[in-house]
Amino acid sequence: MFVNYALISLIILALAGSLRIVLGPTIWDRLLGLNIFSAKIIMMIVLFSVIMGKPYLLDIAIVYALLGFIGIILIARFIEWRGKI
Amino acid sequence: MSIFDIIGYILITCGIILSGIGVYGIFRFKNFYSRILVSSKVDTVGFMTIMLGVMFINGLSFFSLKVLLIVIIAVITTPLATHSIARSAYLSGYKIKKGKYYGN
Amino acid sequence: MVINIFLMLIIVFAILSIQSNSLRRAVIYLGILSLVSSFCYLLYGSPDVAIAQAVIGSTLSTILYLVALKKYKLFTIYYVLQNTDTEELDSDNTERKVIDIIESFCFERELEPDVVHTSENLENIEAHYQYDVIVLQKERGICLYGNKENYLLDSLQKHLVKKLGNKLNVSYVQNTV
Repeated sequence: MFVNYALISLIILALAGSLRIVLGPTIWDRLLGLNIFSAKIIMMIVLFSVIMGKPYLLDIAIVYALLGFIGIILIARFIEWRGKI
Repeated sequence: MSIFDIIGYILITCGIILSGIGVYGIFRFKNFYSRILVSSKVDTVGFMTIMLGVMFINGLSFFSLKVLLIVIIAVITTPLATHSIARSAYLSGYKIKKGKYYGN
Repeated sequence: MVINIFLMLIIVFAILSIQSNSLRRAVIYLGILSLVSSFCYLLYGSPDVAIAQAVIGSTLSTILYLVALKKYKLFTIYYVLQNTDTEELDSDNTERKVIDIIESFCFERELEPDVVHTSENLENIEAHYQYDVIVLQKERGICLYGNKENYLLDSLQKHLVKKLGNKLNVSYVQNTV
């Protein structure tokens, strides 16, 4: 029951973080919001897996943690090198 | 409800409060560099604390080992991503005058 | 209850990614859309589809979009902030307006605007960075600096005068370098 409340408060935090993606004046603000949002999604998957009691759901969290990182690094490098990838 | 469950619940509450401070930090500061500094550090600490609470709830098991793997991956990758964003902003020429937005 | 919030978030980001003018912004919106939709698959009880969506949507399609964006032309704008602290609120407002007008000018000509705010000297920017236009805000007007080969500068000045009206006088200087 406690973990349900923790999941709901994490959802509120993720919505507040996604507000920075919509508002952000520069493109780097949007990337920062994407970083925070993906961290919140990983936490939500772990708590969801605790609620359901299924350990195989944690594999998705590992995949997220590796691949979201690659996406953010690629977009940041793309802007830094002025369109050369 | 054993003593480990209570410790785990307290740690998860602390982690959510820390993550909340990190999310509040990206709206409070006017300057981009102070925003990215605050959010990266506080958010990583909140992540580690919540995962530690989950490990305390589940005890010594296969589940906790996988959660430990996620913590190790996230602790390595999240500061790297933040550093990459800040480096991209700095090398692209996004420079703000010193002291203009200080403390706001 | 929980899944309704995330389904609404998917709709919001889908509309934003279609409506946004800047293509880099749309790539970020699509990345977060695929992240949220993958979490929705997980809530519906299909973790295998969620893994496939995370791999394809978050990484592979981002790389494909960035390779496609390589063909797009960049238009780099340096905005020099020179205001004193007393007129901070007023100058902030005009800065936003001028940047919006320049971005709409770029979207008409299918250029990707890249706005950089800086507080360095003009000579320093000219020496060290690659730029297309430097916008310098003065007390009663705006000055545009650019290279002589830049044929867009003349039409940009006419566009700014047409949109701003008589509030600010816009002048431009072409370097001979």
